[in-house]
Amino acid sequence: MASNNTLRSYSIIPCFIFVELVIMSGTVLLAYYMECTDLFSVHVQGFFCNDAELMKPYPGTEESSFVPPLILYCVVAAAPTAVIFIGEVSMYVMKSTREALLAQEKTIVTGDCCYLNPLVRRIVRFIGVFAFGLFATDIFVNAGQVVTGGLSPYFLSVCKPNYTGTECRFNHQFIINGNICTGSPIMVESARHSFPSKDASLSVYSAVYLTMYITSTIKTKSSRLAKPVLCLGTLCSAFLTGLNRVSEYRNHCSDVVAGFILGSSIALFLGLCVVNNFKGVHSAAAKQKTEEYRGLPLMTFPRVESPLETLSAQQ
Amino acid sequence: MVSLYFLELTDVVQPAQVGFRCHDRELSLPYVDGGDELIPLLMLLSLAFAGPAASIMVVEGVIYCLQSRLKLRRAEESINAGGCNFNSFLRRTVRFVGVHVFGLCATALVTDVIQLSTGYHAPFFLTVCKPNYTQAGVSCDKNPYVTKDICSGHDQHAIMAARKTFPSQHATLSAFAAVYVSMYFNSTISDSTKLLKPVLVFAFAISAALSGLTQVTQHRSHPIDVYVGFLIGAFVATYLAVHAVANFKSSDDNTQPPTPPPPKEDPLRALTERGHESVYNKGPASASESNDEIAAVPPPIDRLEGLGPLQREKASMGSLKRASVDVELLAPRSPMGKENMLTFSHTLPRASMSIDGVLGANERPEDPVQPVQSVQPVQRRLKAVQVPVDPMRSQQLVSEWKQKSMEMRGLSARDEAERDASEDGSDVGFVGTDDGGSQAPIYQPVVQSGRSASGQNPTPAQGGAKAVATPRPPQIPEAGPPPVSPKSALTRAKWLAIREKTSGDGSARAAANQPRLMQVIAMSKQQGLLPSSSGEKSSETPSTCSGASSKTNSPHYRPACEQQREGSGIVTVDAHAPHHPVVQALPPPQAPSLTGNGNPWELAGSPNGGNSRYTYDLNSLDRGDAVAHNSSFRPRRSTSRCATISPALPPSHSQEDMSVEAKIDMRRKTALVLLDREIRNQSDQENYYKSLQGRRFRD
Repeated sequence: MASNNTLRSYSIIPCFIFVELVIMSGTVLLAYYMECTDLFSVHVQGFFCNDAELMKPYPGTEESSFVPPLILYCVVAAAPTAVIFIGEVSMYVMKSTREALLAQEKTIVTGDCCYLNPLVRRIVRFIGVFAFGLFATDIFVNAGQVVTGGLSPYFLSVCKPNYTGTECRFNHQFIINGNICTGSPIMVESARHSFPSKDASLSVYSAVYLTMYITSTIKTKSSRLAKPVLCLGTLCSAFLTGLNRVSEYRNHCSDVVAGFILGSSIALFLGLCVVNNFKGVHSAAAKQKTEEYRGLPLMTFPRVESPLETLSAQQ
Repeated sequence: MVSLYFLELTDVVQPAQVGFRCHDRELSLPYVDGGDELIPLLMLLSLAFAGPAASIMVVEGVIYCLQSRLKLRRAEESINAGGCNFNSFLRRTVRFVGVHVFGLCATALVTDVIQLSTGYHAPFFLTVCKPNYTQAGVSCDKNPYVTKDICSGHDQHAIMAARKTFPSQHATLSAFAAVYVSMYFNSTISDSTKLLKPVLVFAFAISAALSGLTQVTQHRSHPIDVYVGFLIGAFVATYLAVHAVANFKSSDDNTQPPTPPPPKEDPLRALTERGHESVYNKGPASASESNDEIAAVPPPIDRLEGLGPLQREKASMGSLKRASVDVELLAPRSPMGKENMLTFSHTLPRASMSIDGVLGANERPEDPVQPVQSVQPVQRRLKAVQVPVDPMRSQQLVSEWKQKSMEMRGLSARDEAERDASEDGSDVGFVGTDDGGSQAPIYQPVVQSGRSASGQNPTPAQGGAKAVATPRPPQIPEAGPPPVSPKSALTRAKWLAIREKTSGDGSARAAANQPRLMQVIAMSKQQGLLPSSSGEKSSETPSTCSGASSKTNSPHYRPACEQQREGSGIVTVDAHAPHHPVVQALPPPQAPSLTGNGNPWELAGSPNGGNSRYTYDLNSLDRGDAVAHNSSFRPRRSTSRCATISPALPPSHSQEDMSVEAKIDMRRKTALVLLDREIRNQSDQENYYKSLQGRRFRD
């Protein structure tokens, strides 16, 4: 078993350090620059002075929201990490699942000393991919916000343009430059980041990733409802987070929908194409095919009562 | 290309005239001149072309450099075309980039057509149009919807551009490029680095999304235009990537894991069940129903095979039609009978036994080495049977089959017996797979040969000479000679078509994933891996040909087909069935020799070619292997050819097929030698199969 299941590889550590870590750090750096610095200035979007869409009341700062961003980000980052960690460890500890796990994954020996057992490999892989996706989602959202410069629904109440001035007198006058705003520039600036809703996309991303992990990994024979409840609960809370943004006038409906689509597509791509639906590398191909073959013919054919079947059932 | 030029750069086609509302706010956004655009169309075009093309070239170059060292994938064989040598790198690159360029043009064309036909206004329409609201006949007060052309702006070019917006050109092109190259990355870059693939994919996706969104922010198109554009571009890219380049698999790709197909029990068993329950006992209508149902099954299988479905479906439809045609032409000696037997021989132990006998007899006189070889398989077989068995089951089965056969009154004697045999054999085989072999010693050989036969494994042929001597199961003789009724014949033909197709599929799958599936019979089967697929293919060929012959109905052609059928080896006994009405009886020893003499072509093929090849292959396995997997799939091609050209088949064609079949015959012998190369063969086969299909597609 041991000799069967170990794989000697000298390239995994350098590969990990020089490829994965470089990519990861690049992603994190980019996300950091977009998030916390003014390196990329937002596109100044024009508007109509009396656009009813943009005249919603100002709901207060982000922190006063029903779902404060700080808490949201913490939950979004921590919950899947914790669940994946616990799930992997418990799968490793429990005897029944452990063998299946070991069959899927091989222990890798690099050099003489280092043993990377399946537990470590899986945890690093899944959580690493999750973190990468989180930052990638953030980059996507920030890029979209910066490039489009979509205006929040409360933009005009923050901008406070002079409605009696020459520029705002006509109904169909389109104002290109944003310097007719009399409100606080910081708030105006923050009101220009709306188009893909960041909260919506991040929460949906992590919810979908977590759901895929739970669905494909945890096999519970005893309780049939635990898995659906868990999955639907996470998905539901993510959707509610997005909808909350709309109801608080912080985002348009289209922003939230775009965020949903963005987050879920990233999560689906990562889950299906990158980590092979959370299966081990080796078993993924074979297992998939087995299911395909074994399931299909009998399922597709209408069931015909067969003497063969009854016979085998009796014996 | 030409139409693209006309649509894009000339005013030959005017966009449709669509009205607008007076002072529409949506349409009076500021106009950003073409020169001030963030991403002009020309830049977008060059980027959308150069980015994916460059990355495809780079990746292909890396693969090409690594493939020799890492053995990641074996090179597609170089093509030597009149002095020009195309290696795999060149071929793949040209193929993928070519499809990319084609897709870009197609996307642009589609976008232009939709733009012109819808003629929706861009957000800056009113700005550049400067409508003259005071013109006669236009009154914004009464009817705010203006359908006339009241533009007073001078920039005709801008007005024209403002009328073509609906799917945003930027969005479609960039989405196409991004999705295409993403699918390329997704299928090319291995899984060993987890983050490289998503980074590349996300980079392209984000640039595509941004280039689409700039159109919105610069008021050149509405958001809906951009979204629809994304969808169109992504759709075109997905379609092309999946269907035009087969998801970027190389045409004979070795990295493709040996698609472990299917426990063959399932499809076959289900089929047999259907076979007796619905097809036999119900009328032709239900048969056709079931036929349809089964016809719906193959796609999952075909999915694996890449481009398979179309060809497969076509072939199956063809066989279906042919079957019905055969029914119309039903005659005691009509090709249908042979076709049926062909079909049955897939799953039928006794037929295969007799085939084995024929083959063995065929080869023995010519081939002194043969007996020595034949000992091995037999031993192996006997070993393989050692599985728990239950006597009850086999007995009950037997009685069941008796019943069935009694019910099946509407069939001709030969057919009946034939089917009986086939059912019997296949079912015994199934029992064996489920519970182990049947217990009665009589049955052992039957089970064995049934297994090999259901795998359509002609290899045991050499060993099969012994199987001839095995006592036949008792239930055969009860097949009486009932009168032929057209209805039942029709049913049967349909059933046949189903059976033929599915058993072909099933056996193909079975052949591929033998190692996993049949531990029980692993030993007996291993040797036959290669020929099993070839057997399937070749068995398809004759049936097709018989259909063709029945269609053309030319006496000149039919003999060729029959001979051909004989040439394919497996079918030998069936082909002779008309001469020996009782096929189930042990094939008379002279039958094989008759076969050999019957068709001079076959004789010419096997004695000299086969023998020399055989011995030769013993010496050099490698070459035999290579040739084997080459030839093993040729019949498939010939099948399709046959199917397509069948209405007017030139006789020369049949000869060509003949030679192919003869080659298969030789190959079968080589297969014996290749016990340990199972896996390699498997992948080779698949690859070759893939490449075949891919090539056909390209053609």
